[in-house]
Amino acid sequence: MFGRLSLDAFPTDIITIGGVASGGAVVLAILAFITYKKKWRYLWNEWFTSLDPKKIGTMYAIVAAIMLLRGVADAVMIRAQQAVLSQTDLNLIDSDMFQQVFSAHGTIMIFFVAMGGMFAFINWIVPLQIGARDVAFPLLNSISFWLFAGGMVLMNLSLALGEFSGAGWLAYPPLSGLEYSPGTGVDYWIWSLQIAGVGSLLSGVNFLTTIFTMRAKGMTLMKMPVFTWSIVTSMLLVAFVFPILTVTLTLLGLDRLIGTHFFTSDLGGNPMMYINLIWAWGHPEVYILVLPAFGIFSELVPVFSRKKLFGYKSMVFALSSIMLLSFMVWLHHFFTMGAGANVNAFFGITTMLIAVPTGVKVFNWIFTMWRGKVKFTSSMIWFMGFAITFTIGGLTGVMLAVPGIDFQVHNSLFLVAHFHNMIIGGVVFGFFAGLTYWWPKFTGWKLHEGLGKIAAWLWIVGFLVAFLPLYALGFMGAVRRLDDYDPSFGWQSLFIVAGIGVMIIGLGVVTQITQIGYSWLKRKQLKVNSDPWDGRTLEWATPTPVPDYSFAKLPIVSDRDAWWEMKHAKTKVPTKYEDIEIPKNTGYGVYIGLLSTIVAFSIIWHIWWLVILSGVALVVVAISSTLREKTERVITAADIIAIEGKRQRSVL
Amino acid sequence: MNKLKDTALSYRTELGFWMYLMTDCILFGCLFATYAVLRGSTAGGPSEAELFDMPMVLAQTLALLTSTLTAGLMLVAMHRKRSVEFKVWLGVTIAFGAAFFAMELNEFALLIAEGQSWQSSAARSGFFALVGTHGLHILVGLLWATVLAVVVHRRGFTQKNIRQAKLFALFWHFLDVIWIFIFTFVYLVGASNGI
Amino acid sequence: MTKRGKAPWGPVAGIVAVILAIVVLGVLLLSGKSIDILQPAGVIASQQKDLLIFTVVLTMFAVVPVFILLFMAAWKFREGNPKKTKYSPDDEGNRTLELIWWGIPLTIITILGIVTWVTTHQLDPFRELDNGKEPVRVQVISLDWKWLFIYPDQGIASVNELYIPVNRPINFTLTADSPMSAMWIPKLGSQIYVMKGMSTKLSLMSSETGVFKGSNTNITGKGYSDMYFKVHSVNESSWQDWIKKAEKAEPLNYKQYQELAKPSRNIGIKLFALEDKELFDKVVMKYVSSSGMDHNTDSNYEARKGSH
Repeated sequence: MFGRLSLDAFPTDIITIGGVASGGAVVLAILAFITYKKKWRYLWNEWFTSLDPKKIGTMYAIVAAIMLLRGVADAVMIRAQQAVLSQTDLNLIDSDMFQQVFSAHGTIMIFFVAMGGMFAFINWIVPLQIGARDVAFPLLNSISFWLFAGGMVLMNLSLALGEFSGAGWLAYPPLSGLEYSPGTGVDYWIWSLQIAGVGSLLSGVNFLTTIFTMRAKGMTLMKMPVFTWSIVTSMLLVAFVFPILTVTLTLLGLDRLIGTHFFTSDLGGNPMMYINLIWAWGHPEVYILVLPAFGIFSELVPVFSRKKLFGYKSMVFALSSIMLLSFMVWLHHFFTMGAGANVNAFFGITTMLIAVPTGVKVFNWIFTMWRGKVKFTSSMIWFMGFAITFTIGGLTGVMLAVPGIDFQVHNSLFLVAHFHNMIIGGVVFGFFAGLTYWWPKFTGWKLHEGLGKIAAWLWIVGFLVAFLPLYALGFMGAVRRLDDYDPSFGWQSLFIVAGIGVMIIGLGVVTQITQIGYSWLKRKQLKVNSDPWDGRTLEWATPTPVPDYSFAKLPIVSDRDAWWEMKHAKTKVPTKYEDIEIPKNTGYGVYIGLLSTIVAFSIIWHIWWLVILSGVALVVVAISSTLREKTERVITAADIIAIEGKRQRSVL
Repeated sequence: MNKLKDTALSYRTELGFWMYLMTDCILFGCLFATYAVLRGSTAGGPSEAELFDMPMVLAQTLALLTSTLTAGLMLVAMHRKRSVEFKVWLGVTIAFGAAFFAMELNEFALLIAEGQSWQSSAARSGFFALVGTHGLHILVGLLWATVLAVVVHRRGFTQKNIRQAKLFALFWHFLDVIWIFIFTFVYLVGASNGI
Repeated sequence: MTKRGKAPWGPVAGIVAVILAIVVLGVLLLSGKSIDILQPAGVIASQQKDLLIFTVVLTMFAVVPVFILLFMAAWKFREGNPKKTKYSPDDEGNRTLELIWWGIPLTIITILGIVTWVTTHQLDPFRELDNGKEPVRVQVISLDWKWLFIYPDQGIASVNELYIPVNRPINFTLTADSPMSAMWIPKLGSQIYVMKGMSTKLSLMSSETGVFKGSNTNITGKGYSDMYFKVHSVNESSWQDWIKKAEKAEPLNYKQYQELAKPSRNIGIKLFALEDKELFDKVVMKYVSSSGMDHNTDSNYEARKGSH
């Protein structure tokens, strides 16, 4: 009846029960609070069913923020084990659990925190920056989000029911095959990523179409803001490589479900093919995440330097060349497979070539500051932290790109330090800088600057303390993913320092939560107008809070820094408005996300009748979603005058 | 105004669909690559030349090609606003598509009966994944065509239905192209390898 | 933030404090410890260390200017700097300058690219070392969760302990009877992945006597962390003594191997007298025979060597 789902699926060890209980308590408390406040109808009508990219963006951000907390908690457990617990007789975290924790940490941080954060920015900012009211396919956008959310729920469900994969964030076979991982862990990994990944793929297509067909009049490609450019490159990568992930996960899933032999060790299966396929997706994935971060910095450095971006064309060219090169480097993830010197050298050289356009970008940011008036807001502190850590990461990246060196440090903690350098120093710092920068546009009030700066400093210092020791440990022969090591190696002191670093980062996170909470309490004092930083691009041309229709009149663009030019040319605010049609809310996104999650869940637990039932329901719902007749609602000119009139009083 | 909006929407939808087809191309590309890597790993099982029933495959190919032709005729009928003609050609398209699908299922059933299922070896896994994914697309296409027929019957040639019909034809052509690749690289090459 | 005329000493002090702390902590934590990669004891590892230092020095030509310019720009052009600095808000770029910083990294990468091409061939793990002395053949099998080292020419085998004579090339042939693993001895250099049904090669040579650590670098499940092993680099006579000890140990044939191959953790060091000389090949063939395809990278290597 319930496949392999039985009472044994519930956790029995104390830490997992504690995690599930506290996580479950928080979820229940929130649900109870919503019920008590009678907010369900509000949430459903205003948020869950909304096709407004701004609201979808906010929902992405909330999911990503919650997942960040879980990811950090996992990181704390990893370091606690390595720094202290493994060297004592306490057996709080056993090998099985440790391996699930680091696999969950990597999976969550990449798929749900970084991807979620990225889609939050894209949904919010891209339509506004190109002067569009909406995205190309609004319902598809909602479906993407709910698939992402479904993947997230499934991933976290593995805590309470069954287990999570212990095979690392990329689950190499044969370890992830049925022979070595017979439990539900790897299946959870496969199917939660599968549905979240399909969501990302659809988003990629959606935003490419949006940017290519819905730009404001006059905004040629070379007049697009650099953030939007970075999204073009990033979404092109998504469209090209996510199908590879879909195929790879499916084939691994088939090996486990119906006994195919793609990646098994017997009957001709080829595990090496998996490693090639997963990295053909996995390497571009890193650039999918970091290119938008580059875009964010390219927006805020000019604004806070009060100067145009230095070398716009260079920047666009650099983004594009990074995108193209990122397809040609995947083999550097397994030089030590011994593919032969010619192959290794080729991929080593293509890899280090990426350092060239990346270096150019750093120089261009510096020269944007040069001869400017640089205002060191907390966004700029994040930028400085990024510039330093990312350069260090670039240096270690070039080292790893040399196969001769990689043979010595591959899969050691040196490698771990390197990619955290790129992902925390690059992606995370970029996202936090962007969050602080665009927050007033999201909410109408600024985040408290003082607390923001403290948080940035804590993150930067914490990062260095947490990861510099790992470089040293790598040199001392410490490999990644160790849940225990010989005390005589003398590594413990360095692990303890690294653990302190994680705690400093944790303090940074606490400061950020405090910052948001405190700023919310003080939101009256921190209230700002719609363009608080004296911005340059079109998102700052909208009123704050941004109305559903974003732009009362679609802007006409004549220059790169479109809003800056409008302000300085004193463009008259138009007074004659027309009715605007915007997409009507619909619950189809929620239904499709939910049904996909049920399908995936029942596959994981081998509940075949439910697979068929929910699968058929999914097809029926998907078809009926295409049959909707009236998909838009009208905002009348009178309504717009009422809203825009208020804005004129509050802004000008 | 409304017409302008429709043109913009059509353009957007078509571009989006082309992009989706591109991602699907990559999906098939991966499956082709997988198949190419694994096709020799038969684990001692029979070679493809011994397994493939070429006349049957040829019949399959003809069925699919014909259905693509009728899908084209369906578009012509739509441009001329001939509703009955449109439905007839769409029906013929569905019939040939269904025939293709049935023949494919039959082929799979025969292979399994011969003891050559996807569990037999990596080569067979690769074969079933590639050809099966194409078959799954055909199934989706058939479903789409059926829904399209019903909607056009009920609501006539609305802008939305015209767009849908165009996209369906595009999708069907795409599947045809993929099949030509499968026919060439899987069946022709496979059958001649044994000689 | 900063009032006009007052320099932002806070952040500067912060940065200096962080740098100082890193240096002091680094010295304190690392002194007296074995930093294997920077203190190599083998020919491959020394070459790799030189390559590493060369790369770091070379990239400094880009990294140092970046840091200097970054801090100069931040300091000089900060809002509220009492010194009057130039302000050109409409500056869009400068072709010459941009060409320079496309040029600098490109030059560095070109140099490094050439070095990479040469060293990748030099350090190819398949390349057998040759110093005129007779090489020692060692067959390595990665098991759940221990290492089996077979010395076919000496007719012995050991678990979780590798004894090698100093200054003699060690030619490893490796495979796995477990999920994909990788063997790494940092003091000697170069790790290599090993997989079921495939055999791969690695050639290393120790240039000092001593005890080094070796490990598995790729996760293989539960007992992965237990796969650290000791490498004893000893002189010829001690090595011979060790072999004699092993010759008297219990015999190892395929049946005992199957017992040994069962998953187990922390089984400690074991010595065997090798009864079945074909053991390694049997373990590789166990998976090859069922695949119907030649996975053996040995033959690939031979083919590749021929084409050079």
